[in-house]
Amino acid sequence: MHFFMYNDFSNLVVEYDWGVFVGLNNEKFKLNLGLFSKIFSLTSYAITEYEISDNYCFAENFGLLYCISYQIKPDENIYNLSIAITNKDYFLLTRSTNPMLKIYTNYRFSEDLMWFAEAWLKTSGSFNLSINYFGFLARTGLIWQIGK
Amino acid sequence: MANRKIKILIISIILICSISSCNKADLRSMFISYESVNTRFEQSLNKNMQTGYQTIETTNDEYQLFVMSDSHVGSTKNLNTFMQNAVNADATAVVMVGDLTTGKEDDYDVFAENIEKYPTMLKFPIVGNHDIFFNGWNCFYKLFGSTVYYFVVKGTDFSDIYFCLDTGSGTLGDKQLEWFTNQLETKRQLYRHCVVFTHNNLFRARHIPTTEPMTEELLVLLDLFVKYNVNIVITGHDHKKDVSFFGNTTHIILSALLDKNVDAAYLNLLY
Repeated sequence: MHFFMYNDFSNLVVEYDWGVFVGLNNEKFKLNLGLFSKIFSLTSYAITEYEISDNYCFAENFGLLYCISYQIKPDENIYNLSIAITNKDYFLLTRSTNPMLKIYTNYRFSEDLMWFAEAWLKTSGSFNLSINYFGFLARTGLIWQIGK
Repeated sequence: MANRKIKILIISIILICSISSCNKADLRSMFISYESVNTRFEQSLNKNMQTGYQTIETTNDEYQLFVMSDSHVGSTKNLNTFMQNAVNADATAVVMVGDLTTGKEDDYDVFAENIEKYPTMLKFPIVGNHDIFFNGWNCFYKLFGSTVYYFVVKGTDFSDIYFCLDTGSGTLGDKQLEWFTNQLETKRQLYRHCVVFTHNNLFRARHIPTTEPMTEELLVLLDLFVKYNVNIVITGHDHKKDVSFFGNTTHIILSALLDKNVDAAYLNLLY
């Protein structure tokens, strides 16, 4: 969290996202849907430095948030593997027409300690019928649920 | 057993659609594109090295650019109206912001034939997503050359720079973005006004099933537009006119020029 908070990509533009997200899950399938607003905003530094007198932000409202996933085992299983199409990551919400493909696996060492790894494929232009590779993300780590 | 057969049938239909092309939409490109934006960028820059970047000199204090998008030729009635109006108004040039054709070679030939009726009018075309359907980039490149370039309009006491960028694949790609950033860093301060043309609209003005650049890329572009005081960004793709403002930059989405659009329109940019 601190890394993201104090390492802005830009001192001129920031993005705020807020929304609501609900889910329907069974043993193998998960369907999560929600709505969100995405607000692009100028920083106070940008407003002062570039003498901007108006139009400090632009909002895209009522975007669709979704995550559709399939996993091979129930949640409580010692290991799992899943695949998902989603436009939501921890700190990134993409437009609803920019889905990302995620493959996820985890292994539970104990009830409160779990290792996970995930790989993401991002493409642009798929919904424009002109797909282009955009990026790849891999993430791994340990999740320790304190007090469980 | 019946369920299994139905599943196999559905998957087969999807696969057939994904690797073949129906008449209007190149569904194959939803999964596999013919070329990447980096490839088109490299070819464009090679062409630019041969032809150079155009400077249009004018002795007038004011000049006009006629700008259109989404003609989707096919039919050419609005395209010809646009071109004739530009000629009648003695426009300095016309800019065509993508989705000029359906991507098919026949439609490229029709488009080229029709704009060649106006040989004295300077034309600056850019690809849109439709133009690269059905391997259409090869046709565009053969007919028009580069899709990533800039041109300058120079008067006696002013100089304006216009960037044409390729977002036909929904992204600038890393090479084009690096080039564009470098151009802004080295050139922006030399010009009075700076305008960017690209096909894919950046802001999502309404809920439609087509898409815009990824948010991460949009934030980088917005940062550049603020930092280098880009005055106007003109796009198409959405087919519905919209004017938005973010900081000192005006973002214009053009209405589609295609013949069956009841709100067909073009932009007359007067400086």
